[in-house]
Order: sequence, then structure tokens, then C-alpha cells
Amino acid sequence: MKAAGVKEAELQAQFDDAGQQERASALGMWIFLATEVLFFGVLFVGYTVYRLAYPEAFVWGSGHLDLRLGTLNTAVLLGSSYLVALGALTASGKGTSRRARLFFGAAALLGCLFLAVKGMEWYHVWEEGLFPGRGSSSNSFQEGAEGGRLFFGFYYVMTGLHALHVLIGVCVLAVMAGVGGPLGWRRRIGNRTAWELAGLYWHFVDIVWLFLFPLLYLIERSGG
Amino acid sequence: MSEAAETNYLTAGSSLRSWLLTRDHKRIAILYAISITAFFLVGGVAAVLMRLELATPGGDLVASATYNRLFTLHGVIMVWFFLIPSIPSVLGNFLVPLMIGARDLAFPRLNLASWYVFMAGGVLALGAIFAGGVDTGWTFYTPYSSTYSNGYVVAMVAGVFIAGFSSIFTGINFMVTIHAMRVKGMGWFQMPLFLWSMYSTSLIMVLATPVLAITLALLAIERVGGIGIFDPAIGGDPLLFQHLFWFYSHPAVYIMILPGMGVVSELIACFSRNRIFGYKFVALSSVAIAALGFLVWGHHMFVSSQSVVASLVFSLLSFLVAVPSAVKVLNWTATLYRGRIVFSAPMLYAIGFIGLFTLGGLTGLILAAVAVDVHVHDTYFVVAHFHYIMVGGMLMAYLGGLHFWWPKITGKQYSRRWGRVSAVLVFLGFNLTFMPQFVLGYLGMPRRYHIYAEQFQLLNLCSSAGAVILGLGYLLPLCYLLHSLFCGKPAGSNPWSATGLEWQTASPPPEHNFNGRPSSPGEPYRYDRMGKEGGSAEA
Amino acid sequence: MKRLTYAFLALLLLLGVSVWIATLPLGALGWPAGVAIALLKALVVVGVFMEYRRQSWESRAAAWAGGVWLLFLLALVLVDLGTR
Repeated sequence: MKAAGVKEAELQAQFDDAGQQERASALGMWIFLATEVLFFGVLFVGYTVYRLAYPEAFVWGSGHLDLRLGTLNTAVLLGSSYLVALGALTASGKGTSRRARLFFGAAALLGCLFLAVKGMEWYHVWEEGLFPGRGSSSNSFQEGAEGGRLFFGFYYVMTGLHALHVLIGVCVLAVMAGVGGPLGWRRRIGNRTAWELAGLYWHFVDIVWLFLFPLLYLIERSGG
Repeated sequence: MSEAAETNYLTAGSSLRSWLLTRDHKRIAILYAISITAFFLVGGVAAVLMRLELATPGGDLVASATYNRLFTLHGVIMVWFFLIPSIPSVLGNFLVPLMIGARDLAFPRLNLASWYVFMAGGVLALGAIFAGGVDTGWTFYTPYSSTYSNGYVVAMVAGVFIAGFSSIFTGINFMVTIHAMRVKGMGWFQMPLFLWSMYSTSLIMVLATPVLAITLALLAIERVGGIGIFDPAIGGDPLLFQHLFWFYSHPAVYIMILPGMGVVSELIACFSRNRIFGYKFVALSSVAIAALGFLVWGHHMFVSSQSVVASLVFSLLSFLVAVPSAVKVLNWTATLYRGRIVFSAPMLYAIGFIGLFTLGGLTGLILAAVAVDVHVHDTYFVVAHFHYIMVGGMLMAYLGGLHFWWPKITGKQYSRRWGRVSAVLVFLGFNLTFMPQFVLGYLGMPRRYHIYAEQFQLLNLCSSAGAVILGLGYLLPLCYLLHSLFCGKPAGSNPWSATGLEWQTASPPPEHNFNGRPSSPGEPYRYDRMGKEGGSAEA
Repeated sequence: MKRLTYAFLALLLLLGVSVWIATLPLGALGWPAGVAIALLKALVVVGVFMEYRRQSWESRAAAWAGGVWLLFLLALVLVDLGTR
């Protein structure tokens, strides 16, 4: 990596030069993402165990999810990732930080759209009486095979944890896009590394959804 | 050198604020040291109460419900709030930047945050204890913890969950620092072995801790929200919890021994005035232990409904871990050979470590054999085994390391005679406490009960008596080390004539560790080339 | 800039393919097919958007470690489940 992105004033005391600082920051983010892989990974392992044990229940459960909304949301997240990649690329150039901010801002808006659609979906499934936890009055699980509650348990926990990450990501993108300025973080978000790190995190959140989508929404849609 | 005149990291600011908002890795290490000592005392009180209760066969002191809460408290506090942060967060925090010649860790803010996160988790766990406690054991097995327990499981689990993030932060920080910030000329195989062990430990912290975090979160969601993932009533598999729990908690055992191995490598080399035998093997065996440690967790589940095939696979893999562990023990022993051995306090701890760790490791092989494990599972044999590793191993190493680097950390020299006395006392007390437990377990005394059959009383009395000696051995350093802070003689920058960059700077080190950049270190452990003068370490 | 656009279009195409495949009567093959396409999409994101090739070797190793360690967990849990 080239060292041009960090100006002298942004070099922290523990580092010798800008190259070292950039390399360290990027590595820190990648290691953090590896921990996130295992964080979500547990849910994927649990999902695999129960789908093997109760295949019919998972087909039944998946049939109750809205495929169109799920597909829309996948496209929305892919689009936001594209914008973030554009933003990070722009930020590494010179004097175009205004455009980079626009890209990130638009991506943040797409993130909000994703959350809104997600909230709608949760509400629909809840209305159908398919919330497996305490607090749901009606109960439609008897119609499905045994294990239906487990499918929806995973559905809520996995999408919920993912949505939490999207929410955090939206906040990060918004700060980079300009909210951070008024908060007095202008200097901190001024260097290129910050843009790249924010981008890495957002792409990771996107990747998690890429796996959630087929596992939750696309189970044997042929049978009807 | 005009050490006295310069300001060091301790004198750089004396307000409370300068400590609580510090980003200096050395000060954060001190914050950790004070906190984990407090947690150790809490966990120790529980241990004392348990050993008192077990002095007699009947339930004379506490009821069984209280006893359940005591051993849970002891386990949770000692594992997550003492042992796991002990060497990494105290000695590691202090030494990693010094040993590689850096001014600080890569992310000083994250380092401070890790301490606050740790304290938040600790306060929550203590809150759960004082509100009434938890009776599940430190393993939180479902469905007991999710459906049947009547303790404050959620608060306790939340405390552990939060403290887990401090582990992750520390792990990320160490890994990045070791990768990116070594002084010019220090390659991977010129690093002190302590750094290899810190690196391996960080690997485990980073890759295992998130699994524990999400598993405990699922447990809390099941208990509070009723969304059952492990609930057999709706078709869930409680054994899945055990798998996930041990995927973290077995590697965590190596978080609780690898740092100790790193410390002991330093001590053995320094006090036998010898080059480490087979440096590369010792270094790489740390990484091997860390990696293999992830593949053996099923040996905790031999008597659960885990399949026999899986048990055999896990048993075989567990035997493999013995190889790198044995490599270390053999290499330390070979380092002693023809060395000019100095029996200082740190060295006594290190030698004690080798003996106790070897015993703990060998009994681990007994437990890794499926058929034998069925016999001794959930008996005091297991209790004795893991205390030999965690207390006999890690705690001995922590104390040894503390005695070794105390002059560097504080700039003061403690009473060397009292240091040796306490090392011997800890060793004797420890063996008297836990050796009888091997016998008790083999005879069939189950763990986690507050009453036992009368024929076990003599051995239990021995164990309780040993615990008193052990407790005394732990209190002694607290006294003379604190005493040295006020009355100790100045230590000088290198009181042990040790190699390693941390000894090239003043004691205590200046705020940014070195005045200028330290010179390139070259090959580590050149004790054999140091010659007679300046090459001897006094006891 | 062009690379990013191509990658984005490829991702949308793969999304369409995965939805279409799910409507075919593949039976048990549907699951691995879905995961395989997701993996492909993830590789595009890591390779192009996250600029895998521009990262230091340590960063790349970290990315691999996350995946490999997840496989450890999955594989050994399935050894138990598959032979109970």
C-alpha cells in the first residue's frame, strides 16, 4: 500500500510512518472480520444441524417467507456495497472527498431501506403467528412439521443479529458521509484508511446476507 | 545512566484521571493487575469456603444450594476474570511493546477500552453473585441453565459475554502489534519466546471467543425470550450447546497455559544462563498447540450422548496435543542441562511449573482415553487434573513472571529471601491440596457435592490443610511485593543480567518505553556468550 | 471504476440465477447449489469490492483463518451428528 493517504498530522505516536499505520489498521480490521465470521458462523452451524434433522419443517418455514422482499433486499444490499466500493475508491484519489461522501451517504440510505423492508417482513411473519418466542398470542406452528419453531427461531435470531450489524454499519457510513463533521470528528475521518475500513465492514455485512438469503428464502421453491 | 532524574511512566502524571484515561500500555497493565487481583481474592474466598465445608463429610457449613453457587462463582470468576486476563492482560500488555522495541501497542485506545469492557463484565458478574448467585456450574449446560436453574443466569452470562470482548480486543491488538511493529532487524525467529506464546494465545482469543459470545447470547435469548435453540421440548438439541461451549472453552484452556509456557521459557533461559534448546521447536510448538487445541473439544463430552465415533476421533486428536506440549517440556529440561542454574524466586516458580504442568498434562492423557474417562469423569480426578494445569501451571507462571519483571515494572527490588519462601510454600501447598484429589477421584468421589462418604475424610482433610498453606503462599507475595513499593531498593535497569529489549531501557521505563529506538536485537537468549562478568544473575 | 461496475452487474446476475435455480425441482441438490452461488458472490465481493489482492499477506491470512476455523467447527460437529 502506498503511504500517501496519511498526512503527518494524522500519524499516531506509536507508529514510525504512515505505511506502518495503514498496514496495522487494515490488519486489525481484517482480524476483527475473522472474529465476526465465527460470530455468525455459530448460527450457520446450528442451522445446518437442525435443517438436517428437520428438512420438511425448513421447507415449510421457508415457504412462509416473502421471496420477493427477500430478493429485493439482497439487491439493495448489493447496490449499497457497490456504492461503498465506489466511495472508497474515490476517497483514495485527491480532492474528491465530496463525491466520496455522496456515495457513502447514498449507501447509508440503501441500508435504511433494507432495514425498513426487513421490519415489514418481521411484522408479516409475526402477524401470521409465526413468532417462536414469548409474547406471540396465536400459534401457527402446529400446522408445520416438528421443528418449525426452530426454523423461525433461527430466522429471527440470524436476521436480527444481521440487522443489528446493518444498523451499526449505517451509523458508520453516515458519520463518514458528513454527520461526523458537526460531531467534531472531521480530522479522524479525514484520511483514506478510515474510508477503506468502513468499506470493509460494510462489505462483510453484505456477505453475511448473501449466505442468509438462500438458506432462509430459497428452500425448495419448486413444490409450491 | 541518570535514571533517577528522568520521569518514567509511573511519575508522568499522578492524578486519577491520568490513570483512568491513560493510553499507555504499561499503565493499562497496572490497571489490569489491580483488578484481577481483586477478582482473585473473590474467587479465593469461595475456594476457602468450599474447602472448609469439605473438611467434614456432612453438610456442616453450607447447604447444597449454597455450595452449588460457591463452585459456580469460583469457576466463573477464576476462569474469565482471573486466569484468562492474567498473563496476557498484565504481563503481556506491559511487555509486548517493550520486547519488540515499540513505543506502544498498535491500538492504544482499543487497549484502554478493553479494560473498561472487562470491568463492566466483571461488575455485572459480581452483581449476579451478590444478588443471589448462579447454580449452574461455570459451564452453563442447557437445559439446566435455560429452563430449570433459578439463579441469575442471564446477568452472569451477560457479564461473561461482555468480558469476552475485552479478550477479543486484546487479541487483535497483540496480533497486529507483533505483525506490524517489530523493531528493524527483528524477524519472527528473533522474537523472545514469550511473544510467540502471546501470539498463539491471541490467535485463540480472536477465533474462539466469538463462538462463546454468541452461544451465551443464544442461551440468554432462550431464557428470556423463549426462542429456544437448544430446547428439547421443541426438538432442539441440548448437546449442541456443549459442542459450541467447548469449541471455545477447550481452546480457552490453552489461553490459560500458553502464556505461562512463554513466561517459563524466558525464566529458564535466564536463570540457567543458557541458550534455549531448540528455539524454533519451542516457538512453533506454541502455534501448534493453539491450532490443535481447536480440534479436541469433544473430549469433554465422552459421557454425554455424543456418538462413539466422534468420541474416538476427539480422543485421537487430543493425544496429538501431547506432542507439542512434550516438546516444550523436553526443551526446557535440555536448556537446564549444563547451565549455571541460579535458584532465584522466579526460577523456583518456573521449575515448579515444569513439574506441575507435566503431572497435569500426563493425567490429561489418562482423561483423553475414552474408556478410562468413563470411569473418572465428573470425579475429583478431573478437578485435580485441571487445577494442576491452571493453578499449578498458569498461576505459578504468573507469579514467576511477576517476580521476574517486578523490578522492571516498579523499579524496586523485593525481598529475595521471602520470594523464595513463597515459591516453595506455593509448591508444597499446591501438591498437598490437589494430589489427594487424584486419589479421591480415582476412588470414585464425585465432584460438585458438598457431602461425601465418610471413608474419604482423611484425604479431604489433607486437601483442606494444603489449601491453607497454599492460601498463605499467595498472601505472602501480596505483602512483600507491596512492601517493596515503598521500602524496596532501586532495581537498576537489568538486575538479572537478562537479554531482551525490555532490559535495555530504564526501570521503570520512560513514558514512550525507549529513549530513541533500541538497537537491533539479533539472536535471542545469548546467555552463553555473555561471559562471566555481567553474565551472572544473583539469586 | 469499471471493474466495480462489472462486479456489481455480475452479482445481480448471480442473484437472478440463484432465485431461478431454487424454482427447479433439484431436491436435495438445491441446498448445496444455493450455498455454492452464495460463495461465488462472496468471492466477487471479497475479490473486487474488498480488494483482496491489494491487502497485505497478514490480512489475507486473517480472512482465510475465519473461514477455515468455521469449517473446523462445522466438520467436527457433523462428525458427531452424522454418527450418532
